[in-house]
Amino acid sequence: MKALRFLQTVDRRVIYVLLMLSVTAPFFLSIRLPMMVSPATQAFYNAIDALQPGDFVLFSSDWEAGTRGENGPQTEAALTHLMRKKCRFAIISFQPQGPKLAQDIAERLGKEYDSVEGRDWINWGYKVDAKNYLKGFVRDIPGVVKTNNKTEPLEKFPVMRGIKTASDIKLLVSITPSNVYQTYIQFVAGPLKVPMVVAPTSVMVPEVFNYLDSKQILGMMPGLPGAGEYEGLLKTNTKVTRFANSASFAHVLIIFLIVMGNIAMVMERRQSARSGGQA
Amino acid sequence: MFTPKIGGAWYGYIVGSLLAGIVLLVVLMQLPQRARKYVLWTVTFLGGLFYALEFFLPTHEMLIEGNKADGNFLSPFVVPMTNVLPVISAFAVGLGVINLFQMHTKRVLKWNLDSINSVAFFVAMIAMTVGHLMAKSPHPSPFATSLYKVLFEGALQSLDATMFSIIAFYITSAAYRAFRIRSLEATLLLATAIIVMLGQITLGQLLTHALPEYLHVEVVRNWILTKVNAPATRAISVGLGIGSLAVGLRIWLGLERGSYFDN
Amino acid sequence: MEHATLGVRILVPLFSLCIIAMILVARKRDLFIRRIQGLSAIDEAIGRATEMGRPMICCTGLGIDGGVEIVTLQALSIVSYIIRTSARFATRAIVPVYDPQMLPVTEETIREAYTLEGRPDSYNSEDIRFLTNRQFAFAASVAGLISREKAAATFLFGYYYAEALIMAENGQQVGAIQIAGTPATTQIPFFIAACDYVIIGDEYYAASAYLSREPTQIGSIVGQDIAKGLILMIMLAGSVIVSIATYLGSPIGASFTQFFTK
Repeated sequence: MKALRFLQTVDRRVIYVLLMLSVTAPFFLSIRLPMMVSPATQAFYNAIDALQPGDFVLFSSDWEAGTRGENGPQTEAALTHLMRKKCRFAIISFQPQGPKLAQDIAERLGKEYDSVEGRDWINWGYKVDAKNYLKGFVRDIPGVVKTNNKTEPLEKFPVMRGIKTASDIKLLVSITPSNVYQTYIQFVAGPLKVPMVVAPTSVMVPEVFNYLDSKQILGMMPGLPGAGEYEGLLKTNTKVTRFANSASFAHVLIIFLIVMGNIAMVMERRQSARSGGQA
Repeated sequence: MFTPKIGGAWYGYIVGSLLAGIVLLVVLMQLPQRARKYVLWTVTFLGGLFYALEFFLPTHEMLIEGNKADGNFLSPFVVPMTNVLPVISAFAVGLGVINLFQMHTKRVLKWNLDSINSVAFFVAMIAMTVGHLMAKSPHPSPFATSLYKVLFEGALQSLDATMFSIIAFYITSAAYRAFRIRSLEATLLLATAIIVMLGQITLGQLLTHALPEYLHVEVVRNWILTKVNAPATRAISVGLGIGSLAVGLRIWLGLERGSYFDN
Repeated sequence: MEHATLGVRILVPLFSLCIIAMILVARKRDLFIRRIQGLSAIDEAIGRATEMGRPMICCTGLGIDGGVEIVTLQALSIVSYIIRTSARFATRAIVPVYDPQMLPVTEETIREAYTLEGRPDSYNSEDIRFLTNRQFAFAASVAGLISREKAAATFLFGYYYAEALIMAENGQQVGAIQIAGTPATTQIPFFIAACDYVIIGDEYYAASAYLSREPTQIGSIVGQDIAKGLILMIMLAGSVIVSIATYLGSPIGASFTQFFTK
């Protein structure tokens, strides 16, 4: 009876230690779980793959260091694909740290794929008040954006050639842990029929599915597992796959704990019923 | 009217705007409470009216900022509004900073065991401000660059990431505590949660790989998310949208009772 | 959409009319709204905090895009009710603020709540605290506040993101009675796991009407229900019309859809 009670009331600190072990263990073990690509990730990949060299993409990097674990690999995967396809892109963010984090990744990948800032891509920097900003942005990109993140005028950059309104954007990529993607659907993707893909954190996946199901967005890269799947499609390194293994192990632990607690509860109830309700 | 100003005119406009703002603030402060609320409501109403009319009035093809677009007589003002509103909200940040300074200064002056937290606040705030200004100067020294890296990349970003990762620990203990099959609904909730979790991970997908495709855990998970969860969240969204419209209308038309726009 | 479609031009004013009409009706006669269990528990939570002599934490969330927003004003109106009730028992309430633009509005609302209860002297400006507008720094600050003050009750209303669970779990750890309400559907499961009562969906917007019993708000709730009924009817009619039209190959289905999209 005591053991059954214990299994239902495991101290939270013990749970924390178990979780820490399950997350870190895959880094030290050479386990390779096969990666199966979900239809949502495949659709995200197809949307970028269908672009032509020189097509202009709006890359909204609305995340901060807090969600780097998920949004970092997503950004890396999407930017790798854009650079391989020789697409032009502009980084924009409604989070203060967003432009810097995306810039670091773009600079690093740019060296590998010969994608040069100013010629092939540009960073428009941090913007405030997404709803208000996008209302004006869709009508006059140079007039609203004005400069890059280093306050240099946009006209100076070859990457901006021919970009006047949101209709000139061939794809909108939103990497986000917040619902700024809904604002993009409302003001950019919806009214101007700009194709859009979203890379949300895992916790947002059920909500984003609504928009995928209604075809308001073309594809979704769901959290860290999605980034792992994307890496598989791009055939790049297996760094994210290892992170995804951590997520797998953590999920298994959670399921194990829940099942264990419930079995103990049911058994205790039965024992208690047999002994006439004496717990 | 909305063309960018350069040189001396730029400084003139900045100083003029600041002075006008101060005068406006002083006048508002002098107004009786009731009159102040009328002023607030009038500004709110006019602001709302602009966006409502711009959205609802019929449109025709016209030139907006040199580009062909559908719009009405208010549409050319949307882009200037987009440029103006962030400036107003930027001033509000100052309010927060003043509040923080007032509160923590009082605490340091009172000095007790908790005052150390307020001292930490001042140290962190000054360090971050100085570090950022030094690093963003035209010719930053190696020390400034290192300081910026330590403060922003070493401290701020790591602390942010730490807080986010804490959620994993909390959700594990919360799920363990909360998911108990105490009723039929709770059992259904638990079963659904386990399917969705297994469908999310490779290990779970491997478990059902040998079964027919429609029984694959990821297929069942997708079915739950798109056919069960999506309609429910959409229904909630419809209710929230209408609720938001109602609250917006009440505020816009000054029907809301409460301190901000009381009648 | 950039500009209203024909359907939106007709339906939004129609819904607005329903809401305004019912507000006017409610000012003349009593209207019924059902019981919301989570909100009934607010008094219980305040009572418990009073008995224990420990403060309550009333948080109005992060908002969606920042600034003064409807979702946060709604949370503030619920918090205002909580403050008015707690003021009668001289129970301390701490209100952490996330957005600097919300700070003066929050201060003014809370001050007025105390004044309306005849206790303007109970208002303590130090209890209305702007903490930070960084998401996880705010989460850490609120969690710290809950732990240090050993809050007897926490009220988490408004829009939340990933930080929701950090706050709720800390409240749970100090044994606080917790009531949460959010329109953020992704955070509802976390609140359900960690809080005692959760207000979900459009109950959130009904909350202040339920609490204040103020005719304007009750009329607004009934007006919203009529609007939702209309939406439901349009959806059902749309499903039937488009299905039949598709089956018969008639262009009526496409016209019906275009009414809302073009």
